[in-house]
Amino acid sequence: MKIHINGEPLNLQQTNNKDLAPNITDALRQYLSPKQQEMSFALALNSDFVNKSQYASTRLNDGDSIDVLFPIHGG
Amino acid sequence: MSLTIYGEKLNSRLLIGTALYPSPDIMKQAILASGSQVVTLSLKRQNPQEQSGQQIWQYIQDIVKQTNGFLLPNTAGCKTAKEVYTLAQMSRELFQTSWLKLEVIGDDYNLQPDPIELLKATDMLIKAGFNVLPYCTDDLVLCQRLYDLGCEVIMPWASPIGTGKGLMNPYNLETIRTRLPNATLILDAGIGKPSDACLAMEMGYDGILLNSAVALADDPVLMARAFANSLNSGEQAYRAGIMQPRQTAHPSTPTLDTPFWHQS
Repeated sequence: MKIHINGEPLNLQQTNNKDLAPNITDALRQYLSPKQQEMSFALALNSDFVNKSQYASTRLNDGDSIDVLFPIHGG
Repeated sequence: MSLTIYGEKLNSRLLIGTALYPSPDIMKQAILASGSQVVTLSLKRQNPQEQSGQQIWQYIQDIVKQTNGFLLPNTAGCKTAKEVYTLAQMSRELFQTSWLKLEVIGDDYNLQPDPIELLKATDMLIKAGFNVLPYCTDDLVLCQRLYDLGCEVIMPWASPIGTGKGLMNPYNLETIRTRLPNATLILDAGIGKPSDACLAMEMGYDGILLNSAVALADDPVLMARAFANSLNSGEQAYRAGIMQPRQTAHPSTPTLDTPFWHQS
């Protein structure tokens, strides 16, 4: 499955259960290192906010686009 | 010198940004020197290998802890109410605050807010439980509409973001103050020097939000202190009641018993 994270293409690996599409947690595991997964971030799927508690239950589709945003300085 | 924003009492009337400082350490020193208890920050995409964002976040958390302060996430870069709404929800989850510095940019050249999308976004956000601090132009009717929607705090610009041009249109700003006596008015954007901030406070503005004027000073820590002093001066002057200008000269010294050399 091909998705985009922060504008970059990502080939998502299939999960152990082949009947289930990968979820957001699977995508983050592939995109971020374990240390980075512990950092503070928030996420949107196809421009809609997804609550952290829904990462594991949100299945992805081919062509989905994820934005992972981190705190940064601002005025 | 206290200011209340959405029920939170603050010891300083200065709200300050965290961008553009020469280093995170100078940012921290300057913000602490300013006495501000409200710091703005943002959310952005970040390369997973890039660690600097995480370092800044750590510094900002330290500042908030040390000042017993508050985070004010912004929606910089958003151009539509829909984008704002998504980013606002992300900010609320991550920063654990319903406060939001609402920015919806309508023009890339001078970063002027889009009044139509601003009102639309404000309505959506207030219905979703956010405490909105909208950054807007110095348009009286727009400010009135924002207040009517439920914004306790309204933040008209002094001039475009980052220009340091000061108060472009004092008449508009004074009119907003006069016509919205119960709104908390914070002048946001375009402040260049402490006298700009002082002038706004003398008009009766409740606070100032700035970033570049401190961060881009040769000595940001000293400039932060200068702004803290200017806000105090302006606020005290407003409360003290400023004399009305007069058309003709009036001697300050009594003219009775003028010495002989004035007699001819």
